[in-house]
Amino acid sequence: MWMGLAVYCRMIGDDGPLIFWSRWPDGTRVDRLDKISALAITGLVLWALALVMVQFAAQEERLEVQPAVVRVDPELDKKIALAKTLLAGNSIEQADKLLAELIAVYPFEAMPYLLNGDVHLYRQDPVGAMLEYRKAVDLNPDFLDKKSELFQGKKVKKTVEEARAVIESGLAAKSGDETLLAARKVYYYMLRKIAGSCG
Amino acid sequence: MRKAVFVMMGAVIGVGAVILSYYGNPANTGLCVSCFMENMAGAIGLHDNVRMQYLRPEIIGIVLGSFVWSVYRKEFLTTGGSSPLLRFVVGVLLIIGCSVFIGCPVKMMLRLAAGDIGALVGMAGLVAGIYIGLEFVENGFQLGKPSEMPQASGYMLPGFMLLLLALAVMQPSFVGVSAKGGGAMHAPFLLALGLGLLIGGWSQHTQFCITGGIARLFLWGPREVMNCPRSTGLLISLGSFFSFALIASLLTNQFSFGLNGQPSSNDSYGWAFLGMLLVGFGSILIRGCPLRQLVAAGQGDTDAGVTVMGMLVGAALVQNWGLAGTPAGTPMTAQVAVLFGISLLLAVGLLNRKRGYGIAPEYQLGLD
Repeated sequence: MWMGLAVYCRMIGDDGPLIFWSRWPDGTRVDRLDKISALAITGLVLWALALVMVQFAAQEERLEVQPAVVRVDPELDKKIALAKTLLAGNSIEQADKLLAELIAVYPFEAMPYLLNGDVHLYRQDPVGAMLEYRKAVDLNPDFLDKKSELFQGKKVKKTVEEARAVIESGLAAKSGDETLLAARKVYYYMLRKIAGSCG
Repeated sequence: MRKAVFVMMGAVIGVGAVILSYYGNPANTGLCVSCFMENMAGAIGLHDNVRMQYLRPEIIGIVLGSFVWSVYRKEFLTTGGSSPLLRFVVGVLLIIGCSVFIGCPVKMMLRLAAGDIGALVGMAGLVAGIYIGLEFVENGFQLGKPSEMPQASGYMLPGFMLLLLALAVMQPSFVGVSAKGGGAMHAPFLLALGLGLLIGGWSQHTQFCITGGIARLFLWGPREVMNCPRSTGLLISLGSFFSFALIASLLTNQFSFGLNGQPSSNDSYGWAFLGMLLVGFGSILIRGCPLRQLVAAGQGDTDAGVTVMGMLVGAALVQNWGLAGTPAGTPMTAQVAVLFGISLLLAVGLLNRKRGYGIAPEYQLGLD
């Protein structure tokens, strides 16, 4: 698009397509830079408006499917503690069931996703674990913050590296696997999250 | 001025910034005007992101270092009156552009020096923006020649920074300090302040400016570099900055060559390009990159002072309206802001041109 605009700008002269616009109100002659600027402004504003329209449409859809969220529930901590106990006791199936319930009821709580990642680790599925950890760190960045008590960076980093090995070997066997390609994108994303940012 | 002075300038900022990230600032963020402005805006209550609140001594040091050095060298001169409100708006846009790229031009250099090849896209955008800005400047763009003003106006911004320094030392309850996140990651206070003062002083001495350095290539071409007149000193500083930062990154084990998984990055390369295009374009129109604005404000340029205030407001808007790039990509609001920002600069360029004229006198200052 930019190449096209550049070529087009080269083509238009002082009396180019915007021939109807040749003088400013004070009588000054409109030159090529004026015309290029006017065209660029129009293009950029239309682009921005198109983005806004697309976003509005997407927002309406999202609002329709957004589940009701229970924000305060004293039972949550108890259930999370129970899930941890179940995991520690190797009761993976029970923990999995409990966490699925918690995620359904508290979709915006990070800890159930983190524990769900642990469930995947118990099942030796580092890619699944990484995908769950991604949800957890998106909801609560404290899991990757060394200054936070919730810091889980080492575990997450190790899992992400294990996931990379699985993804790479999978892609070596089947290069076009869309699931693995999507997982690789998440891997890169997790690397950036682990590397940190000023924000 | 001798070449060695410009080389030293690059060494001071390159090594200084890498030392700062080694001692606690976020990775590849030893010095970043936009990130630090966001921290400062949060600290004084302009936004409520608890992860981005800290009165960065580096920023305070840069302004005060420039102020002290310019007074010492009798170069402190209060000037202003060159479209201040317009510069305020451009200041806002500079920070928006930087935040989309996740870093100001200084951080862009640091990212490159630390092996982040994705930052090359930002460099390309910055260069494109500079080129577009120069098209306007060379075709009669002007903001009005600044004139000398009453002395007190020039002391306002250094005074404001002095106040922030006092607040940073005393830590009253109304000043926000992050306990986690990017705001909580910082080098020791005195080290950051000291290096900020040093960078500010040297930048004032050499008139260091990243966009100004690159602009020299378009104005006079590579032949000038061979002859090395004063005007290409900025370019020498840029080369020195990159080289020293690269060496320091390697020595401190902060170098990681690659495209993926780099700190403060994402894979929205197109938006990173446009974000830095906005920064390059805006910087040329107001005669200086964000760092240069801080330094100029310290030496009495009240127009630059107004730009710095615009940058502070821009930093707050970035956080309040979610205009910053994230590891996940560039939010839609940020995309729209960048597009409108570039449109606005083009409109400013259109409306402020004196057709048929060359470079306005205020843009020829310091080019000789």
